[in-house]
Amino acid sequence: MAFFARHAYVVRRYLQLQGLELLPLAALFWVAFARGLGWVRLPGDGQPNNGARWFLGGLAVVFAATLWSRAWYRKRYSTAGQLATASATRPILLVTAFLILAFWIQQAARLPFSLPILLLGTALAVVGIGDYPLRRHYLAAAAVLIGFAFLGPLGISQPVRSILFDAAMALALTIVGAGDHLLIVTTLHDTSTLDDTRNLQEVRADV
Amino acid sequence: MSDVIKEVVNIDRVMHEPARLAILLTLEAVAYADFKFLLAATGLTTSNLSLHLTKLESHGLITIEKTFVRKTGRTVARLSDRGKTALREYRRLIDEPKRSAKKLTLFRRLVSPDPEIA
Repeated sequence: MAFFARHAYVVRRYLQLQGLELLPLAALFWVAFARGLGWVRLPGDGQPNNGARWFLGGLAVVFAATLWSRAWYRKRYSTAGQLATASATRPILLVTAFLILAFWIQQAARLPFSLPILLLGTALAVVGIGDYPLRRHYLAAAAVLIGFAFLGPLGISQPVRSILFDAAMALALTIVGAGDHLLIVTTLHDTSTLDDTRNLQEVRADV
Repeated sequence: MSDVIKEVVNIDRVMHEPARLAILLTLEAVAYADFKFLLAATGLTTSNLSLHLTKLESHGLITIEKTFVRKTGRTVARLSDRGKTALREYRRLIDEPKRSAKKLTLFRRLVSPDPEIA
């Protein structure tokens, strides 16, 4: 029965489980982390806001890579329409609204811990627990973010925290992206070797 | 023959076939799916899937639409209202013997607390 539950879950959430889409963004955060540690130097370093400019430029590459990853899934597993009840739009909007509120509270109350990151970690934990065991990797990602949120009270300085922020985001995105991707590739069958141009009529004619 | 057994014996054989049931369960989880997605989800061969889709369509359990995307034919299947009702009924029939067995076990336990008999 576990297989049927897994199969139904993956089919139902196929669009949301396309984890490869998150890996380019994770790579961008890994590069930002490496730059923060001084392992990578970018042209123009030393000028103010150079890191932010490179990060925004990197987002354009991330967007292009996301389109490529969508095409990758389409080639292997094709497409299916998501049921309105399975849509993630409402939860994402809700988390975004709470994030904005959390940023505002963080500024106003000067909390020692990071409320927005704590909220993000909690949202991941809710998914991890709600869809346990299939999305238990979300619990690991949540632990990374919740751990990061409390680095301030542990006495970690702001410059170190800003470098660790990139690492925490990169690690969480890598865990979520790779875990979701594995869920798809270990459940659905690869059809990329099949001829996509054959349609039902042609197949019927062969039978 | 009890009513439960009679119902199970008369189960809809169009649905009670592993490949067709896999197709119907896949279509139940999505709004629609194209031919290739059904191949990926069920692991059937193209000819097998085609045969089962034709059978399900002829019984009105699914609807099949032909569209064209960039001059390439695309076959899209979705569960019909009749298919949704049939799946609900199928689930009820499959679960009924299980529920009856549970009731019987509980009754036996109440009558005879001996675990050997229960």
